[in-house]
Amino acid sequence: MLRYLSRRLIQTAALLLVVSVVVFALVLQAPGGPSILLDRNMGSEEIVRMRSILGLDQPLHVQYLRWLGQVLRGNLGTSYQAGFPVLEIIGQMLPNTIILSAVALLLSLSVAIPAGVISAARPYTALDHIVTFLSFFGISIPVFWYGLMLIVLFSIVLGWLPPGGMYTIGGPRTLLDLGHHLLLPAVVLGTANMALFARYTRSSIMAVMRQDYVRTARSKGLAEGVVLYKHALRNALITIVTVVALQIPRLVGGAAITETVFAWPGMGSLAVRAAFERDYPMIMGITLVISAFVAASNLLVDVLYVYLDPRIRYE
Amino acid sequence: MSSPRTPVGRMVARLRRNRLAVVALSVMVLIHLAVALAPWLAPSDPETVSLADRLQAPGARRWLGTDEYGRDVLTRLLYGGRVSLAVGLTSMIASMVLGVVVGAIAGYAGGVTDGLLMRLTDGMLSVPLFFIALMALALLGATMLNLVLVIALSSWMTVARVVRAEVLRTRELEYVQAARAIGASGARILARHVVPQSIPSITVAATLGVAYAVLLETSLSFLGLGVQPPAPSWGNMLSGARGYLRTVPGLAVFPGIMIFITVLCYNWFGDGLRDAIDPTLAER
Repeated sequence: MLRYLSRRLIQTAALLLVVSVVVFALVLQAPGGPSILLDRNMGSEEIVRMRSILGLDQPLHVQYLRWLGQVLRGNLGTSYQAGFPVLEIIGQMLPNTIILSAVALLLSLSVAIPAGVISAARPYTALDHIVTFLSFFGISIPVFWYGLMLIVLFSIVLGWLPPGGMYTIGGPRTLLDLGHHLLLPAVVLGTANMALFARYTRSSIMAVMRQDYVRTARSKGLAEGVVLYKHALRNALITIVTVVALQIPRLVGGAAITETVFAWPGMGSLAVRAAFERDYPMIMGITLVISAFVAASNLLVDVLYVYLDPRIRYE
Repeated sequence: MSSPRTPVGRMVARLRRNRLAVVALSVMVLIHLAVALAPWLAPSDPETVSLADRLQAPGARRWLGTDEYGRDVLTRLLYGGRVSLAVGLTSMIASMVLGVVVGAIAGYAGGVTDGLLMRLTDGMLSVPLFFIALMALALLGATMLNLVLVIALSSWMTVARVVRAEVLRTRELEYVQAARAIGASGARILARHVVPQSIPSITVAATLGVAYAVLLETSLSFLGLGVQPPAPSWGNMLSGARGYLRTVPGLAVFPGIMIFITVLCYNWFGDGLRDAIDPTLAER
């Protein structure tokens, strides 16, 4: 277990290193480079001096290593637009993205697992077809449009829920108020995964139900519900956890769109704004931090496997 | 009906029995035709601004009304579909080529090459690509070419895995060994004898790939980092409509429905195709 984990840690570090090279290369490739050099009032000598102050006259690998050294020490630079350290801004936004993504994930699992189990218990019935049919809708609906339509229906026409934001402006920051604002974005972000997880739950339970130990459990005279939820689901969960892990990168991508639609103050809306403002340090910082966050969640899933499946012994 | 003898004939017969897949394919053909014939079908010009006609309700002359610049919504839907589907199809083709090349080389070469290419594939799958795509488009410019490249580069991994698995399965088969024995080069064996075996799985991946590419393009265009106005795309039409949700919510309805139906049909058809190609999978 320890050996396996240390190998995964090294792999994760290597992956993040590659991401950092890509991020660095993209910024180098950007037309004009750092915008400070675009000042028309600077003569060519001044530009040369400025380049040497900024270290831009150094070989690329030296520039990269210097930048990486700063990043590893937690210095992601200062946002061009806000004027605050990038890390400080991210520190305020990342928890909001985690809240939104986690609630959306829990919501999709709590609907998808029962739906998948019901489908698998009665395959090819009307109920199963309805679940399959709906799950295609969930996979195909564009997140941003879905969000806009829910805003039109629930905020504008019915007036039940706020159209965006995280707390009522000027109001007390209560949990109830947060839940009120969280409901629509969480449903929007959760829907696609709900559909996907339901399909995987159904297929993996159907595969498990054909196994010998399930037949044994049934022949002992156990109730079908006990067989389904205690024996079959426990094994099917391993597949579901794998799928959840694979979806984490897409979940944060979806969160970016959802946050923009609902003006949710998180990493996604921050990234979109930084992209428009060409706020290089901000974009670089967000991409690195979100990659590290996704990598850490994947590591967590690996540990979770061991608890779910005692047969797994990482060697 | 006599049962067809060839594998392809049997596959088509199975596909035709799947009513949902047939409906999906028909709708897809219809959308593609309408969009391709946009210059002849569209009632007006997609980019001509006419402020006197702005935000008109749907009616006899303007079937779907006009947008905030007085442009005909139906016209822009047709032209926007051209852009969205062109980007979707082009990036799908690019991602298929990339995936097939990576998968075929990895599967055929084996050893260190395989190990490296598969680590790359796994790595790409565990990175928040949407953020990197956002960053790349912001820094390199949101041109159509960059958009296609970004979508292709972020979606080739599934095909690479599928093709690699197929290559691993076929490369030790006798006819491949026979080809090797008579001295055919590695590239020739791959292109003539191994990769054609995985064409069915590639077709399924390609169909589902278009759905993914259209969703990604419209998302990026919605955020303003994809197709740039005034050129219409289903995604950027929606972002324009966002400002009128309270006053003219209908403006946001139509582009979304088009994206939704197109993606849904591609997903349904792709799923039907998979079941038709491999009936054992339908049991899942």
